[in-house]
Amino acid sequence: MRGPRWTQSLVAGFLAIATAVALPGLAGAQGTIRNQTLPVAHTICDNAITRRLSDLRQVESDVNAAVHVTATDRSSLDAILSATTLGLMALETKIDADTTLVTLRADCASIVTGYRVYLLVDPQARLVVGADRALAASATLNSLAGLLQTTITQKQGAGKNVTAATSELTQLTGDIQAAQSSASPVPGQIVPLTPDGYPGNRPTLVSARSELATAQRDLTAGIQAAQTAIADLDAIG
Amino acid sequence: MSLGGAGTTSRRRTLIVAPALLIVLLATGCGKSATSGSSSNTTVPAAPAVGAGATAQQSADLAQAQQDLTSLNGQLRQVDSDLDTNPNTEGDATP
Repeated sequence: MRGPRWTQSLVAGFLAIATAVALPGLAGAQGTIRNQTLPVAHTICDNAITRRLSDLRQVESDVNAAVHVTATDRSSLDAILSATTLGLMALETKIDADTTLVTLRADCASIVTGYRVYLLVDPQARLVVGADRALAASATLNSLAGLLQTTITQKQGAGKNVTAATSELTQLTGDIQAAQSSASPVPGQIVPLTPDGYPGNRPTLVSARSELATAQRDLTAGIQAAQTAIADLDAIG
Repeated sequence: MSLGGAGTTSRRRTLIVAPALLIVLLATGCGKSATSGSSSNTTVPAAPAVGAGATAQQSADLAQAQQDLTSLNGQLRQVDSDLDTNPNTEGDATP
């Protein structure tokens, strides 16, 4: 008698755990709303909107704080963030007025499908800010390359052996160009994406993320080349 | 067949309650956190060691480029976190 009850308890427990693991996010949302009263369902949906509006404010703050973002990109991101925010606020008003669970469930679903805050809007902003940051780093390293070229020319004129430093400078300029090549197209690819294009436009997001990772590696290599060039020039006196 | 009465009941409750607590923890952890960052394969290099021969402007440029890289890495981590979101619920809303 005792054995089977223990077994049943164990099986029930593991089945419940397996369900929770297999349906991430649903245990606290979908599974709940379908069995709740209208006021509780309203609260669930309102909370989902509130969380997104808070996230959008944070992203907007981050964009505003990113001084390297170009005026064009800033304007594009402002438009996206503003439209998304206003749309969600309007949807919240509609949800608050919903009087049936069926209507409410449809409106609540559009919080996700109509706006794609986390899967599209956030990455859009982050990728554009990241691309402009990579381009800003490229410009900074380009300035540094100019300074190093001047130093190399001066030392070469003084009869110093600048072969190693020149090689590093060549590496640096190549890395800069590669980083610019990877990052430059990203804003133009990302800004036009819209929620109704998801998930078809997800590969564009993933590809842009990959391009920025490549740019980051190139910039890292460029910094290292610049460090080595500086050390070489220092060594030859 | 009684093998302990209250002790057996207590252990049985533990068996039932423990998975329930785990479910609550899992469900809470499954929610999308807007500020959470997932692991990223990208790594930011250590701050550049500038030689004694570097000019102030060269040092400033290196430091700025390093700062840009750190910021870029942060953006990529956020993107990774966002792209990992559950496409059906984005963590909490019901379809």
